[in-house]
Amino acid sequence: MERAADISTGDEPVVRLNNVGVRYGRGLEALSDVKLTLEPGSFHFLTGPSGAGKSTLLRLIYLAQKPTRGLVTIFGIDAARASRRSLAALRQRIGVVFQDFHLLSHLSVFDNVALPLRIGNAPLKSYREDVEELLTWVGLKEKMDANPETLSGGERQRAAIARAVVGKPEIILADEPTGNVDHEMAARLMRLFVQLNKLGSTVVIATHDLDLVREIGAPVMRIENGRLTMNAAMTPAAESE
Amino acid sequence: MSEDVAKLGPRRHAPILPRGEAREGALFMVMAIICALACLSALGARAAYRAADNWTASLSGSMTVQLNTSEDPFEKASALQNAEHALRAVPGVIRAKGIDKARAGELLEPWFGKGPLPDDLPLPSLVEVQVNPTAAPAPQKLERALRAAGLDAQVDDHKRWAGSVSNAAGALRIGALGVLALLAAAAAATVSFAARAGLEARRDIVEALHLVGAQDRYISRLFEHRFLGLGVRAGVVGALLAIAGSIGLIVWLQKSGATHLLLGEVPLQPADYAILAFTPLMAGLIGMATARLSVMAALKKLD
Repeated sequence: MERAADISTGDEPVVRLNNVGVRYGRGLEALSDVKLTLEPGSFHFLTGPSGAGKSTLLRLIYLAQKPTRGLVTIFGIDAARASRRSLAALRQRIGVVFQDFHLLSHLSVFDNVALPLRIGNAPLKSYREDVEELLTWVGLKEKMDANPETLSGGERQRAAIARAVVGKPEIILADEPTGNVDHEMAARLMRLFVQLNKLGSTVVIATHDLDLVREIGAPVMRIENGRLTMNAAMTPAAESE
Repeated sequence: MSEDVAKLGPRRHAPILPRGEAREGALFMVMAIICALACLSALGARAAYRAADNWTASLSGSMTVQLNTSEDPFEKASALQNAEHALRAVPGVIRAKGIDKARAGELLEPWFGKGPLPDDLPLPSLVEVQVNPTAAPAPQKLERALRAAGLDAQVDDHKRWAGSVSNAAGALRIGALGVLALLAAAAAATVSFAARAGLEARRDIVEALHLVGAQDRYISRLFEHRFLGLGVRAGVVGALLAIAGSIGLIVWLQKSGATHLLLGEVPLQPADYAILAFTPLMAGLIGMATARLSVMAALKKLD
């Protein structure tokens, strides 16, 4: 059953979009009248056809884009009114897995993954173990000194995921995080997201992989023609009913 | 911590901004040349000022008295002797010495060469007067003393020349400061252009840093450190170039015999070395401050 994607549990939402519209140039709205509330610790999938507006919606949440109209609040702060300093501080609380990875080619895998911790001016010794352990966990232990350009697509994706989660962010957004890895690695990476969600992170994963959606069984937000709707969780059990 | 992780060796971060790009070499050369010109300009101004100081100091400590006497050698010698006595009695006069033919020959040596002066060369009757620079008597006082001794004379305290030298040195100093300001502006403009170009060329890095939550100040600091280092290195090379240039100039002046006249006994003094030592610091600070202003302004326009 479909309903508007405006869920609320009473806690202060970490993300709230109200009547949000995004228009590029003079064309049609890429997003239209989007209402969305994400509670702390929630886990959602975001599905929809290519070009439907999934990436635009994620860009709004990780504050890389401002809406043409409507209100976007992240951790209770109006994104349109926030200073550049506040926006940067908010971004530090959000981990993003980009579809095109955004890895820096002149840095090693280790340095790329450590980047969110490094910008906080923490000394290397305070996070080195965490980064190395995480890289071991995502299967990149042998590649941590490699240049990202020498990695396969799947390896880059895992490095991008490690960078997104290394700072234990309060919100994790992932745009097709398992698109370039085999099923076994996809399941392993999803377990990582689930574990982080259990530790309190709010997770939104944009994906076309419906098997993955069924496996995890989290609520699904569907976006089509710029409009967002909320579906009940897809589970193997629900599907068979 | 896992055992595998514990076994790993030492690790260092690579710089977030990549090093060693071709345009940095060109920028380094431009900055080094600007620093060398700035050093030479400052050293030149100081040398000119020092020379002017030497000239005016020697001029202000002396006066020249010209006696109006007949051409009779005996009368001339007598008048000179009387004048010396009369002048020595004036408070503030340290020494008064008539210029005899031998001394006149020394003074005119550059024009007449070594050897005795021609007998028919008319020479004025002059007295060199050395006075206390801090309590020099007025020229009129010397003239009065000479009149009282029955002598007709004019006293030249060299103020006309000292004033001209001092004005010329002042103008030179203002000119040198202007050149320094222009060179500093040129350095700042060069760094500003390079910082903006660097920011544009490294937009992928800036974007990635923004997306992981880096503050503008953090990004700006990366560029500031880069240009601080570049400025200091360019300043050191510029100062060395300036030292080489100064040594070349001094050698040339020594060969032409003008060193003492222009630079005094010691060509480079401690203050000159301080200028040379200060140049890398200034170049670094200009580079850093300009990079900060340029990058912060550019970052605000990026979004």
